Amino acid sequence: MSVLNIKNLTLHIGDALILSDITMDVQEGEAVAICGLSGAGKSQLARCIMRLEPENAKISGHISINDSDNICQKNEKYVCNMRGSGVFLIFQDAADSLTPTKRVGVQIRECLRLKGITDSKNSTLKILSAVGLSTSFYNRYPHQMSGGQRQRILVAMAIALQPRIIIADEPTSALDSEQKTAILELLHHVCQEHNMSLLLITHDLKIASHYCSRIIFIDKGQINSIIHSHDILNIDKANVTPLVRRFIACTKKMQEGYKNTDNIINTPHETLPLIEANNVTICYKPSVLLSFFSHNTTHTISYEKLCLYRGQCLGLIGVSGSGKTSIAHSLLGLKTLQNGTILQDGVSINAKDKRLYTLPKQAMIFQEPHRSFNPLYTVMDILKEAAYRNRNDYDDAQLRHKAEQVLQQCNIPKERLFDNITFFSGGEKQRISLARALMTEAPFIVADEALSALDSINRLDILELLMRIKQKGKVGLLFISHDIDSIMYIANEIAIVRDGRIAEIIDKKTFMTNNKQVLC
Amino acid sequence: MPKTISRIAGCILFILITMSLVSLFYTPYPVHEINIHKRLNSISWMHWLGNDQYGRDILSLIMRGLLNSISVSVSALLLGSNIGIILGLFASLYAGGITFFIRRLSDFIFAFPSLIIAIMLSLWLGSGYLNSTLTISIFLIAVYIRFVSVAARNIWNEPYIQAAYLCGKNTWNILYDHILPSILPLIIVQSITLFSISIIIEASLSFIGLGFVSPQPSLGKMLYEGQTYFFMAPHIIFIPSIILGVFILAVQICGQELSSYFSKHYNIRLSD
Repeated sequence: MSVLNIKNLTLHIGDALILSDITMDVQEGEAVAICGLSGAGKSQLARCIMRLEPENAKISGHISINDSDNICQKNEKYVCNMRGSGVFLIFQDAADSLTPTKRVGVQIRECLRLKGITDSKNSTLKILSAVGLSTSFYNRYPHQMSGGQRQRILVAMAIALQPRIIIADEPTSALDSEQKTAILELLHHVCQEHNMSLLLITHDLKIASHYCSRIIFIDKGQINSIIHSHDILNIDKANVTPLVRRFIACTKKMQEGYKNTDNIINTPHETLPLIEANNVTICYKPSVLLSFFSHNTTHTISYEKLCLYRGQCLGLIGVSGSGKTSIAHSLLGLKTLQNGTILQDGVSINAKDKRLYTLPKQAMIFQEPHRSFNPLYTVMDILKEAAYRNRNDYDDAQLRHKAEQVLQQCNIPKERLFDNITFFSGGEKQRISLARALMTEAPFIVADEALSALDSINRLDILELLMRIKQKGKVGLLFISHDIDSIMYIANEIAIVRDGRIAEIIDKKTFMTNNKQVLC
Repeated sequence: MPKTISRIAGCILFILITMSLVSLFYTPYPVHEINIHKRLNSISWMHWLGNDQYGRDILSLIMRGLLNSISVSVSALLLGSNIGIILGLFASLYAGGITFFIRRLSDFIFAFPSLIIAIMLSLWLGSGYLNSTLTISIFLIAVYIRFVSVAARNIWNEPYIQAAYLCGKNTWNILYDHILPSILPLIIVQSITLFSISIIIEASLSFIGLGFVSPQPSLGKMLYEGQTYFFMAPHIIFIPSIILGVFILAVQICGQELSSYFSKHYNIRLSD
């Protein structure tokens, strides 16, 4: 019996064709994955099934859940009954989908009440323990929990509502690798126990092939191919479409990243390090009023020694909240140092000087692609700003030529140079962010979770690009990530960050001889 | 909001503003011409909107009165916005004693209803064109400081500001290249709302006798003077109040239309 049945689904948003002629089904108890590049329409498909498409969208075709009528033609009331009881959606970031002002226990209870179960406190606690959270979580607010724990609460809601199918829209992209596996295992386990189907939207082929029996590849709003295989990585390459082949190739390459020996040589070309930090401490003090209400809220970030040479890459790895970004900010001179020194090419950097614009050249690729650009700017404006230090060296034509070159390096067509930044997808924005870093001609580039918003093909592209830049020997790279594979691919040395301090710095040779588990 | 309503509002606004500007060169009758025979006359072909208690032509009075109201509001808006935006941006930049002082000052002004503040200030400054302008602009300064500093503060916290610092720009470059363009739509939309509010304040000040001095006409003063004759000649009070109401409504609708335009085309979320 098919739980979800989609026939000839077509979606227009405004004038743009987002999905065209999608036909697929999900059987009872089955797990199906949807794979595709970013911007292919994966998330829009999930929203269509929930009938949560944007206001200016036009939808046509047939969607039925659990043999219901076609919900494309039903009114809001009918669809509303279907949500929750028939189909449940887990979003990328649970922080957005939980009410921030209500305790999570109450929110789960609400789901039980919708289901018609009256004695809810005990059942809620039971559900909480079923998703691996202690009973103390009942009284917590969403902001008091980590990303993984919030994702668990959403799974708990799914258990409370007992839908026929769970749609998980990249449920792990905001989590570090440890939590990632735990959440996926939980989701898999819950679905099997309660006989729910799972529609997993992901761009990670490893995850898809491990948990799902079928993988549907979507490209530019159309179904590219459907593959029934658990063993997709070893499939016969003659039988698959080019997109699938690319996916498989790059997944394999990433897996073998830590065997990559290009970055094992650890001989600095120069004696003077690009960045040298000694005994650095940064303090986060709460405001006077806040410290009155809660004790021990002063956070300290400290590290003793950190060295980076040109042509090298230092990877920073650690669980979320361990202080990776703060360390990066201190090296960029964006944070005032409590004590210690940071030298770039022998020149001191300290935000205390209040003369940030006289700093040596540095560039950063930010974590959140949606907030790292002024929404009023076009790509050209952004690249022009990046070249601000060199504004006297170029005239307009040269600047434009250089901008086009840099964009092409980052796989963005140069025709889009004058498009507004808001028209780009997350992955494209991240590549423009890299283009901005290259445009500054900075010798020191910090990539702060630069790959987390990218699909695996784009991820490999960017990694290879960063690798090439690094190998030219003019740039030192600080690469922050919680993804071991990508760090292993690019970094010469890996610094492990724990509780606001650098626990140890391992070079790649040591790592390769040791077990992978050393890191976590 | 349907497009037709905003179009009608735009047309009304255009007609009323043109009428008031025309009054600089031409009014159907001289504004101050007293004709005691036509006292309290109702609407007629000779006098389209009738005559007031001194026999003055109400159409001419309204044309000039509207001009007076608009000019007071616009000059108060210009004065208030310039000072308020500068102080607001300053308050968003530095966290120090002066910023604290600026913010508390605007809080102090906010603590009272706008009309009470206006009355207090005009009792202190006296009545007349310049003083009502000053009175309204002091209230407006407080409003501008408040919303400009909050909006600018939000933008200072965005990562793209850090990126701009890393590109080598200094604080003033960033203020000019990022902060101002980002809050400009907000300033424009808020200014239109504040324009209608200052028209109301001006009318209220004139109504309680603290605005324009006789013989300068103003819509608020016409209401005040007409209330004695309400039962004998209701048009004296009805016509100016309808004009005032329609004008303010039209301004507000145009402001809303502009706000939805900005949020659609510039991807900027405006408050309310």
